[in-house]
Order: sequence, then C-alpha cells, then structure tokens
Amino acid sequence: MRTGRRACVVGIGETEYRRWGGIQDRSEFQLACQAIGAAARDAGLPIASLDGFATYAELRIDAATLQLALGLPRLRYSSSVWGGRGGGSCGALAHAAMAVEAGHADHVVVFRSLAQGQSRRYGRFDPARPQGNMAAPFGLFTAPQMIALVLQRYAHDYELDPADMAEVALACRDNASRNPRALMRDRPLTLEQCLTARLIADPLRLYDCCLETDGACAVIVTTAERARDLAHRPVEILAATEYGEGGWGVGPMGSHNMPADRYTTGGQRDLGTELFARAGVKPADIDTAQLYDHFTGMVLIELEDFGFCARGEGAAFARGGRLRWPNGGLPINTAGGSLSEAYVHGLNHVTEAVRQLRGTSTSQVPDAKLCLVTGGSGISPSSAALLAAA
Amino acid sequence: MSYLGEGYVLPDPNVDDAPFWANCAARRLTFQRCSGCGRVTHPPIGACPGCQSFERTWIDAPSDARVFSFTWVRTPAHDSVAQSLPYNVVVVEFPELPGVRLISNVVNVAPGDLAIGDALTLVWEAVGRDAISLPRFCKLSG
Repeated sequence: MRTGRRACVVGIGETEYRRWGGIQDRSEFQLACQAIGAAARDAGLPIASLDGFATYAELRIDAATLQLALGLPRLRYSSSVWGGRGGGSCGALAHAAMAVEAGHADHVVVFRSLAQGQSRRYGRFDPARPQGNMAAPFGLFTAPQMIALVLQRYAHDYELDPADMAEVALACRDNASRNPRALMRDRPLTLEQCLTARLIADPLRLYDCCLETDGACAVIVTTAERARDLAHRPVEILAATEYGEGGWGVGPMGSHNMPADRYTTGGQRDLGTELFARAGVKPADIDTAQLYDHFTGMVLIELEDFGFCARGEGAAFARGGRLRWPNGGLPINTAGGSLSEAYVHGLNHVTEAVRQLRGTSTSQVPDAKLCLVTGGSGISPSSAALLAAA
Repeated sequence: MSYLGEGYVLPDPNVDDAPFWANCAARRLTFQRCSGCGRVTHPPIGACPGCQSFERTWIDAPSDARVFSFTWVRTPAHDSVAQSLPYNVVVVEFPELPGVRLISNVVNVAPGDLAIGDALTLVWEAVGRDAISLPRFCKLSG
C-alpha cells in the first residue's frame, strides 16, 4: 500500500464525563453529536467533510438521523461492529481505517455515546444478553459476576492475590489524579481501601470494577495524505484487528463453554499474535498501553494474552510498579482508564493513545512512539490496535 | 422455597433451547448431541459446531458433576435476588463430558464451604407460577 493511503487518526473529541445517570439535559444522540463536533474542531475539519460512521456495541442511534442532524451532505460509509459489545472499540477503528484506505470514504468518525440514565445501567440485568436463558435464572446477571468466575478459576490455576488486582486499580487512579477529564481525579485511593472495599462478586471488590459513565467520545480517521493539511501531527494506525477465537462463542458472558485450555484467558491470545504480526512490531517495542479495564484481574490476563509475559505471570509482571507512570516499563491507562477516567466502552482508550502519540497526555510517557490499545476481553469478537507517532 | 428469592428471571425458551427446558420440566438434565458427528454442545445452538448438522438428540447429563469455578454474589443486579445475598453461582463441569459446562447454584452451602473440585449431585427446584424446573446442585459431603 502506498503510505499516503495509510489510515491515521487526525481528530479526537469528548463530552464531559459524569457518573451513570448524571447527564439528563442532553440525549445520548446529542452527546454523540457533541463529541463528533469536538473531534472535527480538534482536527481542523468542517463537520460537513465527514462522510462515514463507524461504531460498535449495539448502538441506539440511527445513522440516517445522525447524518441529518450533523448536516452531512453525503454519507459514503456506515458500519457497526457486529457483536462483541465493548470488544468492538478497536474493531470500529479497523472499519474506519479500511474504509478510508480503500477509498470508500474520506473522513470516517468512530464514536460511542452512553447515557445510562436514559437507557439501561450496565451493572444491572440485561434481558438481551445472548444465552441469557442459561445464566439469568441462576442469578448470573452482569459482567462482574461472569468475569468473577473466570478470575476465581485463574486464581486456582495460577497466582492472583487481591493486592495484585488492586495494583491495576491504583495505577489507573494515580493517572486519573492528573487528568482533569477523569471522574475520579480528586478521589485518591489506597491499597487498604481496595482490599477492604465491599465485595461485588468474589474475588471482585468495588475498585476492581470499572465505572459506569455517561458521556461520549469520537475519533476521526482519514488517510495520511489528507492528514498532512490538518491541525495535528497525525497518529498512524499501524494495525487494527478484530478477532473471535475458535470455539469461544459468547464465552464467559454466556454459559462458560469456551475451550478448556483458554478458559483462564481473555480470548485475545490469537488476536494479539495477529495484531503484532500485521504491524511488524513486538510487545517489547510498546511504549505505553491502554488496556481495556472493565475488571482489574482481566488487565493482568491481557498482559499475558498480548505477549508481555507468559501465561500465569500477569500478576508477577505488574508487581514492583511496572505498570505505573512515569517510572514503570509499561505505563498503562495513562488517562485513568475505565476504572478511573470514564467507561465509554473503551473508546476513551483510543483518544488517550492519540494524546500520548501527540505528546499531550497529562501523564505523558517521554517520547512515546508506539501504543497498544485493546478492546474488551472475555467477549467475542474482540479487537485491538497499534497506533504510532507518524 | 427455591434458592433465589421471589420474582425470578425465568428462562424464555426459544426454538434452539426449547427441548432443553422441556426435558427440565420432565426433570431430565440433558445436553444437545449431534446426530451426525456425535459432538455434545452446550448451550443448545442451531447447528453443530463440529459438522453444521441441524439434527440432534438429547443425552442425559452424567451423574458425576464437579465445581469448575464459583463466585459468591454480594451485590444484587436484579431486584429478585436482593433478599438472597450472598448467593453462589457455580460453573459445573462433568468429567465424563469434557467441554460441557453448566451455570447453576449449589443450594446447601454457605460462603467458605465451596471449593473448586467439590463433588455435586443434581437436585430440581420448581420456581415461578408455572413451576418451571431448574437444575441445581447439592454439595456431596465427604
């Protein structure tokens, strides 16, 4: 491929973030419009130049109405990742990249908008879950309960102390303290608080679980050629990959019948292999990682699935501050992540990766050149991306 | 008295899993077995993952059941369980049927009395107005 056709991120936008139910003066639709407008301004593009939408996670917003409201004279591409919910964040980025690289659209906006007080709170029972018949009658309703089962088995097979999971929460909270957008910026957290917080579902305690947030994010993707004339130094999408592992099905989000040898993974091992191979880089090359952090323990497993350490060694890898900014070898979730910035189904991990590669993060990794972003784990299809400073 | 309180979220059978629930009503815990290649699959889905056949029979669950994993739910995510906390959710495995796991509950244990590998035996509970039968388990002593 000619490098001029290579997809880049050229604009990012966000609304303010609030606790779930905290935004009632605007609709989920309006939040999407607001974030998209902010991303266009950030890129230095008129909104009318947008000609594609890419989204994910069972959107409640209609593309035709969104095009109308934004005043887009033409819509040449519109897609939503099919299934996978929060696993689709980087999948939507992949769709946008494919659309601009293939010339189907010029400027595709990837977005996610959540107003949980106007629809459904994520920490409550969802009657629409696939295979819900096999879970809900037994009191298995929500993601933390489902993931707790995976982590309990992981702790049996390997090593996973509550303090190891807390280390992820603490790393994220510390980063959030420097980020004015972060919901938890003024809420310092201690190890003691993590270890004595109320239990949600053993072994997950309160601070092991992500936030539930109202807000929206948007990211504008175009080609490197078009990016040259825009406001910021473009951030190159080296690779963005969707992947569903064989035999996974809905995995832990259903009846837990994923393959036995992958039960204690996030279902992202093959995804990681493919992603790094496509980009031609390796885990040791990564300067900072924005890892999908619905639950602390799953972040440790992502370190294994994406090849930073061997299976069963995620907790040991994270000890000694390795995930901390600024001195750790692999600073993660430098805006605070879903645990402490906001839960926007992981699209705020993409915006933070872009900030790192522009050099504008509030927890900036010096000279960051290469950033890994992961989509939701334990769910399929999942996705991930490697972004690079152009 | 059933394991979880009143106001249950009951199964809403669909074309693919209706035979599973009909068998439960007859107090048979069964799994989908492909008539073409013999593969056993759970939960029931519309085609065999081994050979894509739509033809299937239903086999009884083996009696040897074990705890593969478990959690104690401490925070309610549905009003029906608010009075039942803490309650357990268990992933049940059947050593004679590798790859088949079932979500259920162990009704005769308190927190601290449940461990991975515990041996279980099937019990039935009738819940809701229509007395739908749900497969649950008791921990075997010793």
